[in-house]
Formats: sequence, C-alpha cells, structure tokens
Amino acid sequence: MKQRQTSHTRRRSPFQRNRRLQAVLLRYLLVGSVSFFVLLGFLIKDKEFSQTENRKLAQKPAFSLSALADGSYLKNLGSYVADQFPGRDMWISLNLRMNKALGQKEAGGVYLGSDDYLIQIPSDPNDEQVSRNMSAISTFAQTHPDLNMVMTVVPNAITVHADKLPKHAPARDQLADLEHLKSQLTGASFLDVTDILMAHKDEYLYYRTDHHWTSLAAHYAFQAIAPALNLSLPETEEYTIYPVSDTFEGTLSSKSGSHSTLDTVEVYVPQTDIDYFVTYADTGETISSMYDQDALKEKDHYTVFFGGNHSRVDITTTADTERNLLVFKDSYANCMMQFLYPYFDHITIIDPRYYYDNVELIVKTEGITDVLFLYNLDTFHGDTSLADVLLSGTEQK
Amino acid sequence: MAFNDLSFLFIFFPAIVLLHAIMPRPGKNILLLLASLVFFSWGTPEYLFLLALIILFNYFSGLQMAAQKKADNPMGAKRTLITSVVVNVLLLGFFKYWGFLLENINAVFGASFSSRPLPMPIGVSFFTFSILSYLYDVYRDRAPAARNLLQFSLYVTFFPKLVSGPIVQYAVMEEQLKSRTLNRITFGTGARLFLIGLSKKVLLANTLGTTFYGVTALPSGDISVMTAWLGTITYALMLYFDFSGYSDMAIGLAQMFGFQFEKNFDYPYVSSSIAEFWRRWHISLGSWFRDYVYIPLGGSRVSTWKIIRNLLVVWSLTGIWHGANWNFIFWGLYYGGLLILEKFVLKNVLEKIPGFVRHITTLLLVLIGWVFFFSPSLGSAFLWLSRMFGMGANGFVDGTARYYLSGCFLVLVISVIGALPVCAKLGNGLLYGSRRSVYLSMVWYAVLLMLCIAGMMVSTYSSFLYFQF
Repeated sequence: MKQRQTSHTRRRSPFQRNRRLQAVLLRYLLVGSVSFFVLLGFLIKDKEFSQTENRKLAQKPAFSLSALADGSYLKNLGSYVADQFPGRDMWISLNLRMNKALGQKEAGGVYLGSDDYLIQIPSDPNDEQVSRNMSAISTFAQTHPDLNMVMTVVPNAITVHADKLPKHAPARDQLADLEHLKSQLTGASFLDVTDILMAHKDEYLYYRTDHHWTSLAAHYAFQAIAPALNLSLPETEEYTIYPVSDTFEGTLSSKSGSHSTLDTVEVYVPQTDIDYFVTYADTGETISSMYDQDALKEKDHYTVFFGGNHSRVDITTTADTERNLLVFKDSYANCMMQFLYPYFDHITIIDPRYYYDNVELIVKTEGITDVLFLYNLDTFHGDTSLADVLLSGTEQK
Repeated sequence: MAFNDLSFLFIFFPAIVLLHAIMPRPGKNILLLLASLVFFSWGTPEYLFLLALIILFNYFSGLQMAAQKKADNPMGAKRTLITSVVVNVLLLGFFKYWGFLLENINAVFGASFSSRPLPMPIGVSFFTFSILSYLYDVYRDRAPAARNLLQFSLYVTFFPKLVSGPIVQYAVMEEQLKSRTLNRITFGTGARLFLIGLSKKVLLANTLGTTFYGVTALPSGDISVMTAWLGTITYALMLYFDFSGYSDMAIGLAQMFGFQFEKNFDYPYVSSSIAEFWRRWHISLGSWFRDYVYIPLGGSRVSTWKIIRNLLVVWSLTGIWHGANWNFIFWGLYYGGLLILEKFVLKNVLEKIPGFVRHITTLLLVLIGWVFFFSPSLGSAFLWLSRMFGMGANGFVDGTARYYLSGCFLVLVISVIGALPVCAKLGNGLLYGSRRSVYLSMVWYAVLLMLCIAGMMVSTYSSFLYFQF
C-alpha cells in the first residue's frame, strides 16, 4: 500500500501538482492576512468615537470570570473587534462601492439618489398609535375651543425631492398619508405645506446627507403657516442669512455609509429690534441666542438650532403682541422658531418624546393663546409619546 | 458566533490555528474539545452544564449497550437504545417544539397555557442528530461504543459542524477521532473551501438577501407577477449560497484540523427529478433520515403501502425538523407527496419526457416549495403563489419590479452561473492550468477575502439563516 502511494506521488499530473501548489499558497494567504490584521489591530490605538457612524465605539471589555460565565465577555469582545477593526470606515465604504457597482440603489434604509442626494426610506406607520395621537390632538383641541390650533405635518424628501429618487424606486404615497391624517383631525386646522414646498422643489429644501429640512424650506412653510396663525406679517420680511457650516455630514451619511458630499447649514436672522432669550428647562440655562455655536464643532451641525432636542424650551421676547404660543414638535420645528419668535411674547416648546409634566398647567400659567403641532411625517408615523403627554393633563383635571 | 463574524475570523480562528499548530499530537483532541466548548459558550453559556450532562448520559448509554451486547442480551440493548433515544428526542422537542405544542393545544381546546420562551442551545438540532446516529450505530454494530470520553465529546461538539452541520455519522467520524492526516496540503485545501464558502455567504447570499427582504416587505397589493417571481428566485439562490456556503466553511475548517467530511451540497438546482434534488440538497440530512428512519422502518423492501407510509413519516419529520411551524410540516409533506407521485404514479411517464422538460418541472416544483419555506404562514404562502401566477397581482411587471431587478440583476447572473457545475469546471481548468495561473489565482482569492471582510464589517445584523432550525 505504502509503495503504491509513493509511486503514485511521483507520477502526479501537472493538474494535481498545481492543486497542491495552490493549497500551499492559500495556507499562506489565509494565515498571513488574518495575522496581519490581528497584529495591526494590536498596534493601532483604539478610538473612542466614530465620526462617520456618529456613535461611541465599543471598548476592550474587562475580563472577569462572571462576565465570561454569563456570556457578556465574549459578546463584548465581538463588538470590540468589529468596532476597532483597522480601517473600519474604509471597509464599509469598500462594501458600499461594491454594492453600487453591482447596481444597488439603496444602503442601510437610504436611497442613493441623483445629485448626491441621500433620501431616507420612510418606515411603515404605527397605525394604532397614529390614530391614538390624532384623537388625542382632537380631544385636546375640543377641551380648549378658545385656543387657535394649527397642525402641520411636513412631508419628507422622498415626496418633495421625488425627482431625485433612483428610477422606479418604491416610495410611500405621503400625499395620501397626509390626507388620511387630515381626515382624522377635528377641532384644529390641518395645514398642508406640501404644495408650497413642491412649488420650490428645485431649490435646496432638504439636506443631501441628513433627514432634516433646510432653513429655506422652513421659511417657505412659514409663509403658509403665518396666515393660519393669523400673524400680521410686515410688508417685507427681511432676514440676514448666515451660512454657518459648509461641512455638515448628517445622519443619512452615517446610515448609508456614503460620504460623497457635504451640506451647507444656513440660519435666518430676522431684521428686527425684537429681543429674546431662551430658557432650557432641562439645564436651567438662560441664553440670549437660539443658535448654539458649539454644535458646529460636533458632528451634527443641525443641532446649531437650540443645541438639539430638549424636553421643554421657552423663548421670551420683547414683541409685546399679547400672544403666547405652545408648540408640540419634533426636530423639524427647531429651525422654524427663528421665523416665529418676533410674533409672540412667549413661546413654549415641548418635545413630547422627552417631556413628562402636565401640559394643562402650561396652558394656564403661560396664558397660551395659540398652539402649533409641527412634525415631519416619518417621525409622526412612529411617534409613541404625543398622546400620553396630551392626555395626562386632561385626565388629571 | 458564526463563521462569518469578524470575531470568529480574527479572534477564535487565529487562536485555535496557532494553538493547534504548537500542540503536540496527543493534546490536539483536548484542544479542539476546549475550543468547541468556548464556541458553544459564545452563544449560550447557560447550557454548558446541560451539554456536559447530555454527553455523559449518552456516553454511558453507549457503554451499557456494548456491555449488554457482549452479555448476549439483545433485549436489554434494545431497551437501552429506546430509552436513550427517547430522552434525546424529548430534550430536542422541549427546546424546539414546546411553544408550538402549547400554541396548538390552546388553539384546539381554547386553553391558555403560556410558556416563557427559552433560548435554544446552539446547534441543538444538529448535535442531537449526531448523538442519535451514535446510539444507532453502536446498536447496529456499525461502530464500536466509544470508550474514550474525550473522543466522544469531541464527536458531539466539534465546532465546525456544531451549529449547522453537516451531520456527520458516528461510523464515519470514529476513525478520524483517533488518527488523521495533518499537513500543509490538507490545511490549504481546507482554507480554499473556507474562502469559497465565506464568499458564497457574504458576497452572494447577503447581497441577494437585500433584494429578497426588500421585495417581501412590500405591501401585498403592490406586487406584480415579476416581483413575486423575483422574490422566489432570489430566495432560492440566497438559501442555496447561504447554506452551502456555510457547509463549505464547516467542511473546510474541519479539513484544516485534519477531518475529512463529505460534501453537503452538489449543485441541487440542476436536478431532473425531486428524488435527485434531495440527493443533492443538504445531503447529510437526507442520508441521516434514510439511514436512521427510512431503512429501520423497512425502507423500500416492503409492500407499496408501507413504503408510502415510510416516506410520509420521513418527510413529515424532515419538515418539522426545519422548524416548529405548520409551514414546514406542509413543506415536508409536499415533498413526500411529490416523491410518492414520482416513484409510483408517474414512473413510466417521466421516462418518456425529454430531459429539459424534467429539469424545468423539477426547478419549478422546488421554487414553489421554497414559497412555503419562506412565508410566515400558510395563508401568506398561498397568497404569494397566487401573485406568482397572476392572481391579484399588480400587473405583469411594474416599476417596483424594475427597480428591484435592476438592483440585483448582476448578482443574479453571477449567482445562477455559480449554482451550475460548469462554473467550478471552468474555474478549475483556469486556475490549475499552469503554475502561473495558480500564482495569479492568489490575487483572485485575496480580492475575495478583502471583499468578504468589507461585507462582514457592515453585516453585523445579518446572521446565518439556518440558525433558527
């Protein structure tokens, strides 16, 4: 047996010889590349935070017998290796480039549109919760017939910038969604800003790399909202427009891994003598500007407006109009306040996602005369906190 | 942990390869056993003690059977076999089917039993089948009872096959547990298979998955005939590359440590009959059911009615093995029915039908089968099928279908070619033609590995599909 094997070995065909050669080489290739990255991983210093993904990276887990026994040590070790892998961002963009070359037009729930537009794919609505929110708003409106109430739900880029979508890309019919919301609302007026946005759809209405709308879009929407709130606008509104950032890379870049463009953030400062100061309930701070310069040093430049979302923010002005506004909102409203403040003595801004106090109390103590609900459609479809905040007050009454 | 996790490829794998290389031969089995236990603990450490009990119980059952056989006590051996099989099957049943059983009892009797869902021990479907194979092999004298507890434990837990097979029969693995060939050639051949498997899983299956999951998430009114077919075809290819890729990785890894396992897939989509499909798809599961259920029941050497009964038993078991769900049972019986038709009713007809018609019919029947496999319920499966055949569909082709088709067209073409034997034949001819092409092929494999690392980096939320079984 042994002899036959040796003679067989000697008479190997070139094909078999090449196969053996390949096996030897592949051993070096696999072991070599794996060792290379392991060694490189040891040499490279761990990072705390990923700018591109906008999140804290996993750190080396501390070893303990109990962590080993409950499985958390090995699990955390896995996230650590993935997060601190040498050139993690480079690998992710390599993958995106491969998928694009293969014809993929979406990545991480984001459409890769034309003109470098990244467009968020809206999620399906949580129908039960949406109806609950709508009926809570209606109830709230009916308990306060004396207040002027307006609800605006802003369509997303997928609707307004539909012409930037990849060819044939499926998209929710947000116009029908808005109609459906409107039909569920009683006691408050539902203001649809889709038409005015669509009329300017070739302008820069949504950030290319972020899910928010621009100050320009908010300004157009304001022109529709103002009459609904009976605001007496001056003959010519004048704003000084400051581009505060031209290096904004938003959440859609992080989600998709696509980093092919940067956005410009502009703030609109009304040319008026009316002064204001802003009070943040969560920190107790009072500041004389709604713009947060420090935000521009961070990743998310959209947080230049109020430094992001807060449970409750109060703006007190010298307008002397004897009108006080209460706003229930998501982050889309943050860049709307620069247009609204000259028309009210006081604006109370509530973000129900972070707010747990009694709303009825605000209505009384702040002498509220107007209420604005301002959301974007995608967030509103997933909101789970508005109804609770609105109803908590009524139930306690 | 899956083989396509970064933590496997860059922590577990290099550590084991290094330790295995420096460990002297007598210690290699201990090392592999410890490695397998770590691998098991990576997912469900809470069951490590249970796993040890299961191993010990079956080890002693095997020894007892051997002793009873030696003492010429066949009835005793049979009793031991039955008891230990029942214990193993009950355990598997408890982890896999308890919730399903309660659900159905509740539905039928209007009761409201509830159970706290327990996580399944990793690979429980696979290692239980390995153990059952051991017990029966010992009972039938296909292999001697394991005296060496270390070797037996390694047979049950060996990490390459622990999570998703292949289900290696004890009689096949027994010799290799004692001694095996280890050199740079076996390691390199294993490395090649591992890389190919990894690419199938990460580059093809995961990419097809984006289309499949996109299409199946569409509202059912928005599905055209073409969309429905696209979903079914991408699923068929995705499942094949996912599972056969995972098997390739398992077999390749085993080979790096000196074990030779048979292939688990053999180009199933070129089959010209359902029977042939099941000789080419998940081969180790098919042979397991043949050797440990079908043949012990009498196989094909009994009356026609008994053969039909045996086939139905085997195929309902195959169905429910894939998951605690009526869909899987229906899917199993669907195949049982097709095989009975093929074997008894259409035998003479099929012989006269031209080859390409048989290929297409087989493929079509397999695709219809997958609809039951991927749908969340029987109702939605029939709904999807009706869309495929135009009922209630949003036209023959719509914009959505065009969008998804353009997104996956290239991957589909590559996948279809990759699922045919001609691909490997051409590849082998090109890669092994000359020494120079072998050196050049290293560039190809290096590129594949780099693309796989990129794919693994983003797909932290895409796990291997067969884990749920």
